[in-house]
Amino acid sequence: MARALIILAHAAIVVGLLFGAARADTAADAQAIEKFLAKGQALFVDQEYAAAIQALSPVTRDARATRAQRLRALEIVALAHFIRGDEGSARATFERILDIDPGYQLRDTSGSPKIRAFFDELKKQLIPNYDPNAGADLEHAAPTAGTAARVIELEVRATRGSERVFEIIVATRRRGELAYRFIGALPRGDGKWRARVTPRPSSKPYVLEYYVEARDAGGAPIARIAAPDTPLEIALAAGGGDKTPWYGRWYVIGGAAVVAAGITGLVIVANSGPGPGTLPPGSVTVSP
Amino acid sequence: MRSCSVAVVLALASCDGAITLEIAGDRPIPRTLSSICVGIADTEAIGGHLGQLYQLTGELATLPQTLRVDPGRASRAYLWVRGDRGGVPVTYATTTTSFDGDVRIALDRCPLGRGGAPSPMGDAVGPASARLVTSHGSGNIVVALGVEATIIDAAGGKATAVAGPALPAGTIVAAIAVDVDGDCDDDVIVASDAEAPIVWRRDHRNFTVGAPLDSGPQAALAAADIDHDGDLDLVTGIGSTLSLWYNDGAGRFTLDVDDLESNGRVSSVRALALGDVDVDGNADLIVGQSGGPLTAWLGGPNGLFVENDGVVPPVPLAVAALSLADADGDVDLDPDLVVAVRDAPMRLYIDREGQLEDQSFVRLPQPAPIASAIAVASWDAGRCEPDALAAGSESLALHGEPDAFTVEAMLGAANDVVMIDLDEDGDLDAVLATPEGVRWLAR
Repeated sequence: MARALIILAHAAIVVGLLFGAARADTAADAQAIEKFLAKGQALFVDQEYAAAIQALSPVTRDARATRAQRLRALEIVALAHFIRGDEGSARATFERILDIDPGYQLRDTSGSPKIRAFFDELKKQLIPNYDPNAGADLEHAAPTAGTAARVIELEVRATRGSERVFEIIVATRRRGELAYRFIGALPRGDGKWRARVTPRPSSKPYVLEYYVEARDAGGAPIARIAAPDTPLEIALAAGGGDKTPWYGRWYVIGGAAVVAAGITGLVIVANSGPGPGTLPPGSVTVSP
Repeated sequence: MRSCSVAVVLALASCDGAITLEIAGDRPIPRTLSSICVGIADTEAIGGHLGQLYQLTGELATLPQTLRVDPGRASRAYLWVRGDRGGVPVTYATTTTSFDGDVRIALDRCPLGRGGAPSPMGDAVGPASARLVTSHGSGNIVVALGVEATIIDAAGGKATAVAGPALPAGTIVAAIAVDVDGDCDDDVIVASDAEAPIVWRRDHRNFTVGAPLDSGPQAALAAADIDHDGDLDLVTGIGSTLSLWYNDGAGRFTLDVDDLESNGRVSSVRALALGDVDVDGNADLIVGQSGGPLTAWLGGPNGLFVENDGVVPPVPLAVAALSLADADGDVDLDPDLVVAVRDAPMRLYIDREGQLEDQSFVRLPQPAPIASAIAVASWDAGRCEPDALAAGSESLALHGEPDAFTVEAMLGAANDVVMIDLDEDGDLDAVLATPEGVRWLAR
């Protein structure tokens, strides 16, 4: 039994390490892609268009890149091709963008009417019923008060342009803090989204500030309710305490998991054999 | 009796011929495996057949699980398990036993096949250019629907063919495998352009023609346990209409007009796929059209489908076929969308947090294969990443790498492809519908 518990403990540690490693890998992947993007963007700004294309092309083929990262890279590559006069390559790259997101809106801030006209014309050819005046309007419902450490639900609805909304983000922070925490809302259909926010525990009441942002598939904001500088507020009562309770500490959870796994393993070992199985009815006869 | 217990713990046969069937697997429960259907049948057609669905909750919310199997008069039996996720069948494992030892069936997240190149096993058999449907149960078989219906099996290292039921009138436009009566073997529903879809009930290794749906002809079919009552329900579609049919558990389907409405979002339904895209434990619906955009409905716990524009990019495609299956081998095994497009390169949409993202250019060899049908599953001895077969004028075997598919082999012309462990040796095989007939490929 002692040996079984040791094996299970080792298994639990290995599982923990694997999860940790996976999370670290994901973060490292995102950082690596961001480095490529930053380099490509800088080259583009410096009018090194061929070098920008070369730097960003790997991102457009990298499966680790998020959709937003891939779209950002593709747009810069397409713009670089266009500026270099290679309209064929620009068109092919813009088509890849529209394959990923038919509602994509250029993030290009140059204001070049030639670029926008080229992209809009391509969109008209590829996307039925394309409306150049795209965008989205949001409305939302949220409680005016809540309790710290308890879930608050926010309902968001895109009243216009819901087909262009690929992501709804709710940004929250405790009043007095500078940085926001971002929580993704889940789509509920019919242009509706729902976010479940769990404010940080606190032994004292505090005010939760928030704003809501709709993003297109490229990650570009296309609509907002409030804004980072002018957030909305929810008054929170004290709840949860500031410290992690003893039962929430990792070593307590880990120890309990090992003990539970050991007991489960022993139960399974004890129940195996010619006696009834664990699945009802325990025993069956093939051809009575 | 006690001595028998000790013998089985040591994995030896018990003294009365009973064995222990162990169903194991490393798929996280219930996130990637929510229920299992366990089937046991005498290899003799006159023998017994048992099938039982188990929800992996409460005391059963873990694997392995066991069942004591007494042969009775049987000398040999088929044992198989179907694994469901969110009410959608996603994995199968099959074996046979002569009751000479305990049996373990694993529903692993990373089922590896054999090494070596895929090669034809025997000659092509059955009808030319058929539509293929897999059927797991008392032995794994493939139903080929061509100028006639033929049941394809494997024996002695060769594919065999026997006649199946009479085909319905008209041209066959869709066919799916679905366990309509809860006995864990796959019955078949066949749709033609002239008649209502009709159920073929599987009985051992044959089929008997059952009752048709109370509807007109349908163009597309998909099945899943929509209302979580333990039986597989049906979604059908044609033109601008989508219909949801609830199963009463005995294979009788009743139209429900409340839980699924097309609301004018589709105009030319061509293909349907059900899978738990947003990983909420409910089957979601993806609809492919003959030129219209891909559209999606998210399923709810009570069976209600809610339309959602954010799930899949609404790109107009002339869809030939589509399926939801894990194609990137990520840890959560969530279903990715594979789309065969008529006369155009296939598309691959990777499931990222419930949104299907077009990664065709990133993950498929370029130019992407033009296929009329695509099958995705792990069938080589390499990495865990799923592989794929694309049937077309030049069919391809694609090898799954961590971030992309690479071309492994050219397989000649085919119009349909499925993957199933046809010879029940524990490894997946490929079955292609070719102009010469149905061809079995194995490693």
